[in-house]
Amino acid sequence: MDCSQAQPLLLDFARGRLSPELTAEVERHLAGCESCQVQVERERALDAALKLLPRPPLPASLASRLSRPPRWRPRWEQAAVLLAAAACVGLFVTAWQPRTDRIVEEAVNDHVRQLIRSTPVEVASSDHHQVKPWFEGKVEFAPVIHFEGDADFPLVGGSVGYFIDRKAAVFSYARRLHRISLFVMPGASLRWPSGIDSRSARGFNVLLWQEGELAYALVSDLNEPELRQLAARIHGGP
Amino acid sequence: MSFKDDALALADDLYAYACHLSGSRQEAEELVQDAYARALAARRRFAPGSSLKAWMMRILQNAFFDDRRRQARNVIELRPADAPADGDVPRALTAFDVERALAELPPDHRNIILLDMNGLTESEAAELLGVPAGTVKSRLSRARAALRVRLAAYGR
Repeated sequence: MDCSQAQPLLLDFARGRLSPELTAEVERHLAGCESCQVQVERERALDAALKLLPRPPLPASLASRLSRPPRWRPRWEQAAVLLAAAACVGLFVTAWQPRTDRIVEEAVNDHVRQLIRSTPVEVASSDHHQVKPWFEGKVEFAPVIHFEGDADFPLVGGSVGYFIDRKAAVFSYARRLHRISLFVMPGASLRWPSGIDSRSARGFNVLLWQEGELAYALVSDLNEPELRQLAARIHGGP
Repeated sequence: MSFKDDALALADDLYAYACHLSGSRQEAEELVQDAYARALAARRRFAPGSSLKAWMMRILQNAFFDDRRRQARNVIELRPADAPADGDVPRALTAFDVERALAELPPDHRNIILLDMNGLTESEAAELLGVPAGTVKSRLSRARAALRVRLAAYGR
């Protein structure tokens, strides 16, 4: 194998994607070719550099637009629909929802997104003492949880999510085959209900409460009494 | 899972791809939303068993290049005279350097690097770009060389 044969293979070689036979041939060539060795190092260094590339998180507003029924519309069609709506019914009839309903809708959408993500949790651990510190530096607040997970409601892991316009710490719990997401975020400027408020939307139960400056949303397709049991443990109070 | 669920599961990847391809988060949001609208309208044309991710990325890529053509915005290829002809990637690069270097590449170079990063095979990328598989390898190699030049320039 000479340089002209080796060069097209060097990237795949650097990534370990060649067959054992080709790998052995490239290795034999590299043993006597400094410039191809340098090239392999460059490919590895560039792959390492590309791994640094930030991965912008999907904005919650976009995620919610995408998952909202009935269907996605191309941009020109959206404009046409908006114009038609404005002409027919007047601009004052824009879809207005009480704020709590929007919060419930957002909670359900975010829970569904957690379920369908390729990696539902970013830190997979049943150890509360591993999951909680993992959020340090990833969210701008310390999530307060009075519950470490137990045999009834094991902790599955955590991830960073987005709730309306802010970052949320997301704790995932399980109950039999049900998945439960707990979103914890700063409550400022969100109209959160007082006490533990129970709602349901699209087959999911949502419990909302506030504790100090933090807002909590617990979402699952689990039945409400059992979800309340978990909420009581997390809440740590009556 | 339904087609829509399968497609929604790719939203994170598609948004990140759109951000880096367009260099604008606002444009990325529009591109992703548009791509989903087009994908849903054309869902019957998706061949089951093939890669939905590659298919969605193709739709998004086409929307991006259609927009660029419509805007007739000429992309200036940056080849500063002081950049070395080729070079090693410096060790102390930051995420910002990599993002900036990628953003400075011509869109087709940027695109092929992003497709490769997203794990598309050569044949998937070839189909997506409408070129022979052999061309993907040489194009990727040129794009990576151009990126290396940019990154090397930042390290000096």
